[in-house]
Amino acid sequence: MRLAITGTGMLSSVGLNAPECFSALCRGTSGNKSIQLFAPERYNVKRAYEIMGQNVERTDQSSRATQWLSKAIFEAVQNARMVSEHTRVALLVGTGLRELRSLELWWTSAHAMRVADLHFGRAVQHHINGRLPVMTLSNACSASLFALGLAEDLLQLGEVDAVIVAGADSMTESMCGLLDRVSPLHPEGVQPFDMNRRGVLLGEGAAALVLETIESAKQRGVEPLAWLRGVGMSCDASHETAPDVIGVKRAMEDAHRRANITPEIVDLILAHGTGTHLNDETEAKAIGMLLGSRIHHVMISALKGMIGHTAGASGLMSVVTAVECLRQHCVPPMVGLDEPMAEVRGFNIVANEARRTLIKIAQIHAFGFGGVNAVAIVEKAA
Amino acid sequence: MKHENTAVAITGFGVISPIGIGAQEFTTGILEGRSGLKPINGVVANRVPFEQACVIPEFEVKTYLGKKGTQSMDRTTGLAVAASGMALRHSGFAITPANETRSGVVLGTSTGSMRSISTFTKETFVQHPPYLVSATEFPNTVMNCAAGQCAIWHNLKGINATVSGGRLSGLLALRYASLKLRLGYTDLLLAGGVEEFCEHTAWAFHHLRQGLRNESLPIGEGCVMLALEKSAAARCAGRYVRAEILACEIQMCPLAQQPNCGQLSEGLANCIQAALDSAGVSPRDVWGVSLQGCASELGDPETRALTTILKENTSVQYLRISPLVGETYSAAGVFQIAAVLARLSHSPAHERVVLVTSFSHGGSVGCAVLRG
Repeated sequence: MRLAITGTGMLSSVGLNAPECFSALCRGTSGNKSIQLFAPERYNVKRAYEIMGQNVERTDQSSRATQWLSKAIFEAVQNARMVSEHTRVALLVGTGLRELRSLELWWTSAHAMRVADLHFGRAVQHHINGRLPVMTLSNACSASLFALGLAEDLLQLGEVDAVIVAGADSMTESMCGLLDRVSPLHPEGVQPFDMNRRGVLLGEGAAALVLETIESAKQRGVEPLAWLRGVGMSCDASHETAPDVIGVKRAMEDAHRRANITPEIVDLILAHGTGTHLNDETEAKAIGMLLGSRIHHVMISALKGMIGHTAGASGLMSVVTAVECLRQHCVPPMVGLDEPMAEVRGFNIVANEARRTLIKIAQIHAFGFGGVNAVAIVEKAA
Repeated sequence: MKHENTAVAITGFGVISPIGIGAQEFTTGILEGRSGLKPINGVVANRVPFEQACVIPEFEVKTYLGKKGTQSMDRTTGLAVAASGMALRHSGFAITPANETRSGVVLGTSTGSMRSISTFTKETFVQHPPYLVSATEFPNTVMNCAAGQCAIWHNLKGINATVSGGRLSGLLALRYASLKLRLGYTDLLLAGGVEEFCEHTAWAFHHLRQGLRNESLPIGEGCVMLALEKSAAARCAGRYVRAEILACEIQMCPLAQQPNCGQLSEGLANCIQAALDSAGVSPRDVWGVSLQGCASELGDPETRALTTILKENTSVQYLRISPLVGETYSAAGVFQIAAVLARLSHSPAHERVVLVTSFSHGGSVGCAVLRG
């Protein structure tokens, strides 16, 4: 079943809307800066990929994730020319830590907040001027791709005609501190699939898209930006934190089965590529097993060297980027990669600079702690 | 009719009931109107608050499953494992290494084995310090023990879900399983419900029932497992489609502080209508209804709801399974479905649409639409 993606929106450390983000990514722009949100003196890790907005302020604010989420959703809804009369619509949000930063600020700096502000529902409904059901899921770093999979299910079952799928995460001091304790090598930047990669750094961002049935898009007279062919999922059932080659490969195979495609027709993979020792090794092995001799042909890129690890939002940010790759015939480079690690020798990695080429099928990865893996397949609209 | 290409089929069922073990014996029991009520004498070791119940003394785990691997298996798990095996054999679906990860179990049970949980918990209090309890008994105390053992015994390595929803458990399991099949997450699911008889449930039933004086059903036990596949795949493989699930809707109806028959029947009527809409079936086309049939001093919301929806249809057949097998709670919904399958298999004729209705006094309501 093909589903129409009719609108997208995105914010990241390199751009405050989807077109801005995509052109910055294609230029290889990195949002890597020294940490601004809180005093980095207490940590070994000093850098991150933060969204500072137009007014760069040192003081942090509450509800940043909610604001970006609302903006990304608003952009996607505008883009899809959707109005609130479209009744059978649901909104699914994938997030890692929701509004945890607001809670931290309430505790450490006495910023005002209400418990209800921890949830995105009210703010988001206010922004799009509608009273649609808002469901939030938290599946670690694959949350927004799981939301996309759930949207596919809802549409396939005919429960709704359109789903707004979104993801958002802001930096939190507690997560940053935690990462500081578990990454002994104190990376200065994310280096996906690099031999000398030293681990992950946090990023911030939000993404949204409007997904609807072909009939719904036709009825509204909107052209799809791209097709969603399917979302595959798997659970490693193997280890609390370490990824598993077989589990990751199962998610890819499930995606191909659901999309009714074979690995031969994949043109581009936007990898999860966190720059950690284990993820990149596992992901590379799984990709190698999936593609076999096709490995020389399929382009592979990853965004985290430019925008950091945006946690629950990362999967959907890659999907929104992939939609632009299909539309604009351009693939952003894998920034941060200098010396490819042994496991990716022979891979067709988009290194150094963006590649201009026609792409028909793109595959997007997002893997989370707990072994929750999701893989999406998107196709160029005719 | 909607969902034509994604319709879900029941290709077999396994049943262990107070009126017969196995699909054939159960069907005979239904047609004869056999009562499952019998003396409890000797079924349990301790005193229970009544002398008769719808029990299955002839079902013993070790007799049915053998001694190997059943040393510490409780009755709930034994019923589910045995009924699962029957359902697989009845459907003719063979589990192989090629399809085992695409085959799974969805089991409705509200509590797991009450006997296992209660006994184990009691041990932790009455043993001398340091309160050593038998580790082999522990797995029985977790609710998904039965579903897990079904998977282990029958090599069902795909979806494994335990659904807990009181009297709605059976229909909830059916809905969950149907959705997973329709969405292509799996190819075969054994879906059903189980309830064991033990002293603990007997006493709980006795005390809870005191608030509802007219609820006259005796307590029952048993298990029904349905083998579900996509209709197209089943027909393609030459397996007999006993019935198709056209819809299964579950809703919560808002109730005032005190349960109230009017509100409950209105909620159930809305749910039945939603199920008919979802199935694309008109009330005129309904041939029969398999009733839960638990009238109490609160009245009979089920009959009231059905009268509202089916008012113009005067030829509806009503199937009543609960007077035969008793109050089987978590298994009630699937027993109603098994009664439909028994009835349909007895007189295969033109296609008939049957409703299965379910409700609880907490306000959950459900309705499945079957065609066979």
